[in-house]
This record gives sequence, C-alpha cells and structure tokens, in this order.
Amino acid sequence: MSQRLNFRLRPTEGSVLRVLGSIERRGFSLEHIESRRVGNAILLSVAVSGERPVEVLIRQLERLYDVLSVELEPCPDAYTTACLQQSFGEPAAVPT
Amino acid sequence: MSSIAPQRAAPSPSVEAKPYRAAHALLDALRAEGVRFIFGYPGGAIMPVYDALVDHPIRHILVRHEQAAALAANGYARFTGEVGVCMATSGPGATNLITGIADAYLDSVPMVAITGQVATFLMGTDAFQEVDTFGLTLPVVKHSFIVREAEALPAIVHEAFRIARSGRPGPVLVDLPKDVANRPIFAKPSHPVPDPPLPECNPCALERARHLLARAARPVLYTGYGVFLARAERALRAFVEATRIPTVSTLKGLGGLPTDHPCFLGMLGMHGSRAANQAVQEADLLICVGARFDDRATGKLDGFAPKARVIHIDGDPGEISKLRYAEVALCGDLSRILDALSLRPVPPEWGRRVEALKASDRPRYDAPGRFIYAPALIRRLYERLPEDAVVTCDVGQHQMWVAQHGVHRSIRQHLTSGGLGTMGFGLPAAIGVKLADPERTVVCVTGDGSFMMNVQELATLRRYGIAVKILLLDNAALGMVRQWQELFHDRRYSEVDLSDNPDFAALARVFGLWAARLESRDQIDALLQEWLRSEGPALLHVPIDPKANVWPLVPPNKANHEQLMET
Repeated sequence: MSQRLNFRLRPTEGSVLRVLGSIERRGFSLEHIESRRVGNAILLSVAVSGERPVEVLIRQLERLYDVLSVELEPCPDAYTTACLQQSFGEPAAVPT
Repeated sequence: MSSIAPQRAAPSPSVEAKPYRAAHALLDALRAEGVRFIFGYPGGAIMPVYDALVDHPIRHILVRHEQAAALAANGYARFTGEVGVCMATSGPGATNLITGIADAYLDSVPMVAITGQVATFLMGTDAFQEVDTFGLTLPVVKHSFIVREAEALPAIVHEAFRIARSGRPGPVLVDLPKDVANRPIFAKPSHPVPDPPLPECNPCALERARHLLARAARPVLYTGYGVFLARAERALRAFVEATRIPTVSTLKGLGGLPTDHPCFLGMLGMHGSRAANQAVQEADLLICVGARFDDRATGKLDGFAPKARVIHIDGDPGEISKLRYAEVALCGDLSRILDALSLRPVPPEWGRRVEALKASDRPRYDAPGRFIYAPALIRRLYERLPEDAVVTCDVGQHQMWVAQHGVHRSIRQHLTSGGLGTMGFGLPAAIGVKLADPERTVVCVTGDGSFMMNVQELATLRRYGIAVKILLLDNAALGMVRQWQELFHDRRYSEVDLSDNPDFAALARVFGLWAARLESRDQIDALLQEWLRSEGPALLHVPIDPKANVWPLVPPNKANHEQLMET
C-alpha cells in the first residue's frame, strides 16, 4: 500500500534530490512524484511504499535542513500510528 | 626533534593593497566560529584559499592524504566537542575526504568539510579534476552547500557550523568553486548566534516512564554515544548512583559510566560481556539512553531483550522506534529527562542476580603460552596510563580488546570508529586529539592491517612534533576477517595473510619516531614505560599470537545470549 507525503522544502540546491534519496535509502520505493516551485518554497508530493513504519521515515525526513514541513495524507496503518503517538505521550487510543 | 614552524610569506613588494576576496572571507568566517585548526591538503581548485592562508593566523595542518585530514578533524571534534574542519581540492582531493566524512556522519560527529571546485563556468563540462562532490556526498552529510555567490560565503559558513553542531551533530560540506573564491567581496564575517534550546519533553510521556520504572522488577540501562552528545554524563552517573540500575553500554558509549563502576556490566552485543548480554536478555524494562539499537549491539533483533518494555531517551526523534518499538519515547535534553525520572532503587533480588552475573564473568589475563596476550597487554597499558589519557583505536580485533579490557573513564577518552568501522581511523584521530590538547597523553592502539591504511601520517607526526604514542598489535593478518573465516567459512582463509609486513619499528624510525619491538612477556613493563616516557611520537611494535581470537562472539543472525565463549 502506498502512502503520500507532502513536503514544503527550502528552494535550495539539491533539496528535492536529498529528500528523494533519503526516502529510497531508508527502504521505501518511490511510486509517484510531483514537484513545483511556489513562492519561496518547493512543494513536493511523493507516494511511497515500503514495509517499515512511515512515521519513522517522517521523523527521519523532518531532521533534514531543507525540509520545512512534511505531512502524511490520511490512510496510514491505524495501529502503528496510534502506538507511535502513544509512545510520544500523545493521547491516542491503541486499537485492540 | 625538529618541527616545521608555520610559514609566512615575505611582505609583497607591491604598494597596491590586495582586495578582500572570498577565500580570505572564508578563513575569517572560520575564525569567527572559533576554529583553531584546519586539517587539509592543497590542490588546484582550492589554491585561492591556500593563498589566503599565507597571511592568515588560522593554523593549517598539512597531512599526507586527504582521508587523514577528514579523520584528524573527526578525532579533534570527538574529543573537544567542537566542530572539526578539513579541506581539500576538487576531484580526487574531495573523493579522498569522503571516507572521513562518512565516518563523521555515521558517528554523529560535528564537522565542516571545505572542498575546492572547478570554476562555475566549467562545472558540468567534465573539466580537469571536476567531480560532483555535492552529489557524491549527499548520502553521508547532514547538509551541503555549493557557494555560487561570493557575498553569501560568510553566512553559509556560519550556517554550516550551526547545522554541524546543532541537534544530532554531523558533517556539513561547503563546495567552493575557484572563481567564486577569487572574487572580491564586501561582506563582513557573520557572527555566531546561540542555537535554539531543545524542545521540552512531553510531560505525559515522562509520567508514563515513571510509571514503568516504578513497576520494573529487572530494569537495565542501555547507554550510547548520545550521552556524550547531550553532555549528559553527569546526569547519567547521578541517575545510576541513585537507582543502582545495572548498566550496559554500546561501543561508543563506553565511559559514560566509568567501566570500573560497580553497576557497570560491560559492553553489550557482538563482542559484549556475557554479564551485559544476559542481563539484557532477562530485563523486563530496558531504558535506552542515547543509543540506536544498532545491529552490532542487538544481535538478532527479534531475540533482543525479549521480555523488556522499552523507554527510549534520545535527542533525535528519528531514532525512536526505528528498529525496536519504544513503549515510551522521551525526546529532548537527556540531562533534564534523567534528572526528572523516578529514583526508585533497583529491587534487591535483581541487584543480587546481576552481581552474580558479573562475578561469574571476570576476564582472566593469565593465558598460557609464550606469545604476548593482547587483552593482558591492554589491561597493563591502562594501569600505566594517566587517568585523563585518551586512547584512539583502529578497527578490528585490537579495537574490541581495547573496548573490553580498557578502563574507560569518560566517553571522549575512548575514540573509536563505531558506525562506519574505518580502518585507518586511529592515527589521524590521535593527531587531532593531541593538537587539541598537547599536554594530554594520547595513545593510538592499532593493528597491522589498519596501521598501513594511513601509515603516511607518521610524516605528519614528525613534521609537527606531535607526540602520539602508537601501540601496534601485529598478528600478521587481517585478524577479525581471519577469525570469521575460521569460525563461519570452514577455515577457508581468503586474502588475510599479512606475514610479509614490513619491520614496523624500522619503518617508524625512518619517519623519525622513537620505536621498539616488544617480543616477550618479561619486557612488557620496561618497554611500556620507556615508550610512554620517550620524547615525541613513538611506536611500540608488539607481535601477538596470530591465532588469537576475540571472545565472546555472537555469531551472525543469532541472539546475544547465544554468544560463543572461548573454549
């Protein structure tokens, strides 16, 4: 199942390459890519698939200097998301 | 011993003042960041910066291979906690830096690497010594810049330093085209501003951690290099003193809790102590502090700490639940988090069990035979070293013996390439440390394989009179590979024989070092003393048993409690 990540990036040299490379190196496949420059940012939308938790990938991408924000479009694995939210102390019920 | 004084150019006969160029602004910006040393090697595309160096007070250390520049800056940064700086030209100079940059990336070392690049109008034309340094280094840097506008250079340097040292540290590349470096500029050096504070730890997560700690019957602390990155050794020690929770460490976390502390059980993982691995196996709560569940530490992940819930304390949210699900994640300032946790003492039954594990796992140093027994030599070395000495290692069997048998009093006193496992790390790293603190005893423990990977740096020791003491354990083989071929490849030895090594003591003397060969056990005390007290850089060559192996050992794809012991 693929999941879509929406990024706002700094418009710096190599920022798109850096993000796409990071996604692949972390074990995810790139299924679809769209990118465009809007004002002082690059908007990048990527559909990814992989067996590892996408929430961990998001935190790894958030630490990139070029990434101003990254959002996961709804439809993730509900159990994994709830568990990870709870481990960070956020009020989320783990499905049984 | 002679040493080379910094060279200064004679005053120019020209009466015209030189314009202030980007190359000079680069050096001023580095100085504004507090840089004391640049480790580097000149070449065509970086020549404007080397020209500016002639008139600049910043100190440049000329190494003999660019890889050593990156590793010396790496060692300097690991020891000081400051940003290390290395520099090379384009093309092969840049590619030679990459191993040291990758080493810094995997071990979270703050570093800025400056590379020359061909002129902007030649970039993309396959020009002489042109290579896409930016592209080549993308996977192994925290961030990178190509300087296209000279005026932007001071701000880029400042930002590079901020990125390198902030959060989870790492290397940053600044690629500087030659024509940009030569351009006159009018920008002033950028002044450092403090990094933003770390976010507050989530109070709900903290409460959940307290709850787990209060109920744990068999807690174990699992600590790593993140303790050093967060400057949290004090808080860790206070936490252990208050709770007496048994503690195990990763390779790079050794010294976070002194290894002679009663609560310390040793390194965990592939070559970890039996007590450490067994305690983790039995634990019902694992408190991971600044570590990342690396495969060398966990063994087969499914079998790691199988009965334990996990509290993961780290400065980097990207590590949480990456490999092992954490019931509680505490991200933020490690010291504040540790100070805020429950201080309930460990249950007495668990304390007694762990004491028994530790008592049954004391290493022996009375090996029979005539060969020098490397673990005993390492132990003897540490008994003779000043308490504040720094030991750097290379990679292989000797590295594991140092980890297992050294007495590590703080993390920055044991520098080892943990993530990348870079053979050739030890000597350049020791150069970086000794330059940072010339009064400190700095020892490089190396092996005959690793030593030859950066042997040319003996010339750097001689050139600057850098009094690093090298202890070379020589088993005439690539010992760790040989050990694996013996145990897991049916003794089919493939390209591991180094019995035609040079005479290492004679080689060192050619480079101007004091050198000796230690051949029998009754020479150990006298020669260690003579070697440590010798003036300037020195090498002690120690032939050891070519068949000696590192024990214990967790075989590949096995859980840590299935480790093999010496028979």
